[in-house]
Amino acid sequence: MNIGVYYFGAISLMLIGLYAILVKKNLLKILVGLSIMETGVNLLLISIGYIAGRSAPILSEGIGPNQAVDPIPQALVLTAIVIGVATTALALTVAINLYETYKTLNIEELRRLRG
Amino acid sequence: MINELMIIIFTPLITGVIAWLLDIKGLREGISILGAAVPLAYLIQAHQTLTSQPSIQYSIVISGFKFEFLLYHLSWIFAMIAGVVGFAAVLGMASTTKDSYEWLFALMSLTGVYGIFLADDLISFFIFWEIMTFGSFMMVLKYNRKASLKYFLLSVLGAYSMLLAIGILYAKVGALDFTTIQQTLYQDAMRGVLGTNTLLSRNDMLLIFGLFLIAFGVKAGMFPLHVWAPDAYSETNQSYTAMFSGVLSKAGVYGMLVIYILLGTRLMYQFGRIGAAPKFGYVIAFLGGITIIVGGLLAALQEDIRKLFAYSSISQVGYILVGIGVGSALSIEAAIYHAISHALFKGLFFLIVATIVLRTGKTEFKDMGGLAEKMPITFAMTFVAILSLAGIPPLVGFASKWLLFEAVIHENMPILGGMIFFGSAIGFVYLIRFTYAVWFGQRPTDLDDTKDTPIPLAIAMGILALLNVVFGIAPGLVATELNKIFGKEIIKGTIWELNIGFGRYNGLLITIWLVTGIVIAGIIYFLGAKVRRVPVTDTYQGGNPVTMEYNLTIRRNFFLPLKETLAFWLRISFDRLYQDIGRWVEDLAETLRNYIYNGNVQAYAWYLAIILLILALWGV
Amino acid sequence: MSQYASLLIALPLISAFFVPIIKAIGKKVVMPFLVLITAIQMGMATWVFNEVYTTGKPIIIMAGGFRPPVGINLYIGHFAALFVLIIAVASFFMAIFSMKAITVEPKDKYAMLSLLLMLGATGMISTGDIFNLFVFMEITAISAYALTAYNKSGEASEAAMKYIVLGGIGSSFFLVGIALIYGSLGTLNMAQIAQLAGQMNPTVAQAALAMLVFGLGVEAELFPLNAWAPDAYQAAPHPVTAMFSAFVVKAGLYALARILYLTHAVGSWGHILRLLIILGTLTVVIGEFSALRQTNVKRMFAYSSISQVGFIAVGFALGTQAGVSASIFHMVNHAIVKALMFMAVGYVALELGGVTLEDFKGLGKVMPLTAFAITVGAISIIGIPLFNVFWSKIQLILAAMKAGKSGVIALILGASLVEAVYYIRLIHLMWFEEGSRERTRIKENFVFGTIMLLLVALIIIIGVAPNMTWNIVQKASADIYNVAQYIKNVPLLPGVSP
Repeated sequence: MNIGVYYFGAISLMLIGLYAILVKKNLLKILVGLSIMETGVNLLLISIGYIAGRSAPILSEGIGPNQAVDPIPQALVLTAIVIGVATTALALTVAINLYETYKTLNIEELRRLRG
Repeated sequence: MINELMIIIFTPLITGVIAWLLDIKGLREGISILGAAVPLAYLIQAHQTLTSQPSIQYSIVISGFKFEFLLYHLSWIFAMIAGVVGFAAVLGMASTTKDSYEWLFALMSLTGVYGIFLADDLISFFIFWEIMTFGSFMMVLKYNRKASLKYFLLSVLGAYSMLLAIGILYAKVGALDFTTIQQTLYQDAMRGVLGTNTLLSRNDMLLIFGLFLIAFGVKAGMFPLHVWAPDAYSETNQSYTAMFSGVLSKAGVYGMLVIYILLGTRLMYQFGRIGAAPKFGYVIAFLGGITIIVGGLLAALQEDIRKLFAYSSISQVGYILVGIGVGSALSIEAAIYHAISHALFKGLFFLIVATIVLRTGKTEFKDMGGLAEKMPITFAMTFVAILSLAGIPPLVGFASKWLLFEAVIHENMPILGGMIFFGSAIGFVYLIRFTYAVWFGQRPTDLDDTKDTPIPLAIAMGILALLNVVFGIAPGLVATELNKIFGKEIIKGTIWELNIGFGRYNGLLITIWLVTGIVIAGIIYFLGAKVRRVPVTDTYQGGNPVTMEYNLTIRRNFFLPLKETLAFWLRISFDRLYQDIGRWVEDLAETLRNYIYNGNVQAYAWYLAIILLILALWGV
Repeated sequence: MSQYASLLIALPLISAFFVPIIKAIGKKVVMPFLVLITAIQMGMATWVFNEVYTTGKPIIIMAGGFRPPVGINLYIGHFAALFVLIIAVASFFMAIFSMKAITVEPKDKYAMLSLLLMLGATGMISTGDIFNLFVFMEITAISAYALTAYNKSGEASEAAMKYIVLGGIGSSFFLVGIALIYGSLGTLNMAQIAQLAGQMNPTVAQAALAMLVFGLGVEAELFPLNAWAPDAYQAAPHPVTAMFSAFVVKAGLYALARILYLTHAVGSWGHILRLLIILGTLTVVIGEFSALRQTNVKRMFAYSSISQVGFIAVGFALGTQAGVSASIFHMVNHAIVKALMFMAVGYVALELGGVTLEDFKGLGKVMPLTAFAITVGAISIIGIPLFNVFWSKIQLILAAMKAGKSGVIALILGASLVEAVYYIRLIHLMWFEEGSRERTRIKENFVFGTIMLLLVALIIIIGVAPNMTWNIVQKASADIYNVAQYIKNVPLLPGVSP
């Protein structure tokens, strides 16, 4: 399959995420958008390391170094995913705390700190 | 590190810090006076050295900068002004200060002034300029936030202008020391004369000159940058103001001379002359002239003696600027002479004001009167000071004003001459009021047990008054030193006499005549006059009924008619203009802040998106 | 021997995970443990600093013994040695301050997070691998998010939420930048990137660089990417605010400068610099203006801190070694001053219960030492000679002049005029105005007083004798500016090319 599809998919995911962040008023949706954007970035990283016709870089029977795709982006993405999870978890905690304090998740009402 | 120039510069600061840290009454005063006395002693000693060698040099490298210091004739004269008046002011402060805070910052500003006068490169000049500003600012801050803020903002504006000018010079010339800059610009002017390309363009020169003018104009209190001075001079310890007005404003004057030294030839080449004066100098002189008039008129309209002398100070510095601006050797000498005499008599005046404020706690004319009887010593000092400021021979004020007037008229500059003349006249106007309203007439009963001046203040005033008299009777003493600046005899004559070719003034002769006259008058008085003693409460209002609406006694709205005549002009206030601009900026800032940091994270995300968009558009 | 420098990273990491065990021993031991670890870190950092500056050679640590670009390396050059020391010292002081300033439970989480914050910043500054930089940046950021929310109040959560959203966007795009660089060069090692930067496709290079600058701009608080900063500074616990200002933002700035100069061979380099100058100038101007009428002093200092960051960014963006030196000097000075000021403000909040201007009225009589510390800090920031910031400001201005950017300087100077206004108002308020409430003099804590006086002394020492610091700073700037030397220092495995 053409590599361009992956790039297209990755950039679309990022833009969708960005759209959610910029337009949605609900904090949770914004966080979801953030998550989608991160996914898009991860996909981008993976597709950069993709070499057409090769398999995952797991050393097993029949797959030598020359049959696998570039392993480094995959390692990077693993790290990035972990980081993303941590961020999301923390963000959700904060969101819960905000909801308990202000009884709202509307982003336009959460603006005590300003000016 | 131990070098006499360093001792001169840093002794005040170090003693100030010690006095501040110790904070033991009695001891801190002693240390501080010592701190002002040591540099003075060194300076007097340096006079000997300077007769055998042209200058004393010192340099030190800090943080990649080479700091150079130089004591030569011009800087020696200015440093002596700082030394003498600073010492007197510090003595005065020993009576009026109850706070070690003031010692620290007063002495810090003295260090700053010494540093400015001795600096031989632009970076040390700037640094000490800032130290001086900061010290004096802290002195005002203690008394009044608004006045100090105004002072500081204008000063910092000036300082930054200077910094920009320094930066431009540095970028073009590649050096910061005075000698290199002077030589490079001189060569640049020669290059211009020969018709080849110059290093600095016309616009560069205009910009540099303009920036320096703002920088020094602020400190000198030049119109229209004078607005800080009335408030700052009056809203601080009045003994300190003796130094503030007498010495610190001279830093601005000295700065103007630095313009001449560094840029003179180059500016003259670029902009040419108006009549005999260089065009750039004429700008200084003309602004100086306006300063004389504005300062003088506003001084007459004040109801507060501190303010009166603050405006008077501004007016007097105007004279000096005129002299410098005219730019002939004679006029510059005259200007420096006036700088000396202004420091002497205005320092004296502010010490007198300090005494009055200390002893009565009052500052306004309406609360005063008949103090001559209660404070005879102070009054005697006032007598000297008034005669000197008004320019009556044989005091120093006359000698310098006379020289200045002659110098300006000699260059055929009737407008400037007229401004000086007007300034002298208006000087009488406000001095009369001060003389009568404070010292004579009916004394308010709450001033009945006013004591005379404390001893340190008396000594301080005595020093300044003595010098006022000595330099008036023997003007040649000053003239000899002034001639050394140019290295030739511009003001000829003997120690008693000034001879400038087209006029001469003999201080001794006039004194002799004056004394003779006084003796004759005394003889007549004691032999013939009938005296009736009148108690101070037994004075009258000249027959007219007095209504409270239009009550123009000497202590109250005395110059109201003048004020009404000038009403149209008084509405134009640069002070108000600056304040309006300030308020406008603050309002704008607040609106901007509330608009940008509106608290909505989605808006913030949009900022990010916009930046991304810009990046994308401009990049890919 | 020098391999032990890797403990700078390992120690905080290991001790952070030891915190729960320490807590099991006793709740009271947690904070002393934090102080102890930061003290050890400070000792090690001092040793590393000494080592690097006496030998003049950077310490390079290769993870697992693999030579780069195969293995990940740490590069502790002159700059990193200096800043690791600053980070450790600031953390140590703030750890002491936390013992009293942190009242909300669970303190063990606080200890853990602040160790991770220190670790992250240290890592960002000393790493030699661009993806590793991303990881450390995320460690810093996540612990910073969590610390911002630490007080658990509504405001704290709100500030953390803003920080997470904006930081998340920033780091995502930073990762995109890394992806682009990896995609076109096939390496993540900084030295190798620098080596190969010239061969990059100019369009890709420009896009990658733009993404990296964008992502780091959020961390480095460049306007308008800094909107989270005032809120986070205001709502975070006081020691954390001090750490943010003292080293977290500095780490971001360092990364920005490092990446910028590594890629100076890229064709469109000049454009990026111009963009950064614009952003930096805007940061200064908007920051100063925003601080002008603040009634919350902590927030005022936050804006002031942001505008100083703008100065630093402009210095880096000049593209000359003089500019870099001036910026690093300013970073050092600013770290000292702002650590002092935020600590003092935090202490005031602790004693008086608030940080509005009203609380600061007459502070000179209530808490003279603290008020004195704030005064010295303020005077220093305004740029009065004989105080440290003056020197860095003047170096910056001269550098800009040399680079022919006088317009920018005029604007910056104008903005720092504004700085004088609000700081002077504050000083006057503290010393010469009477508070509306009757307050007696508070006995100031001896330890905090000592720390504050120590920092004040540092400000004045650098102000009076800047020579030594200036020499150090110049070496540190050569570390960043002289990329060829950087490449030479890293023992790249020969023959391995992408």
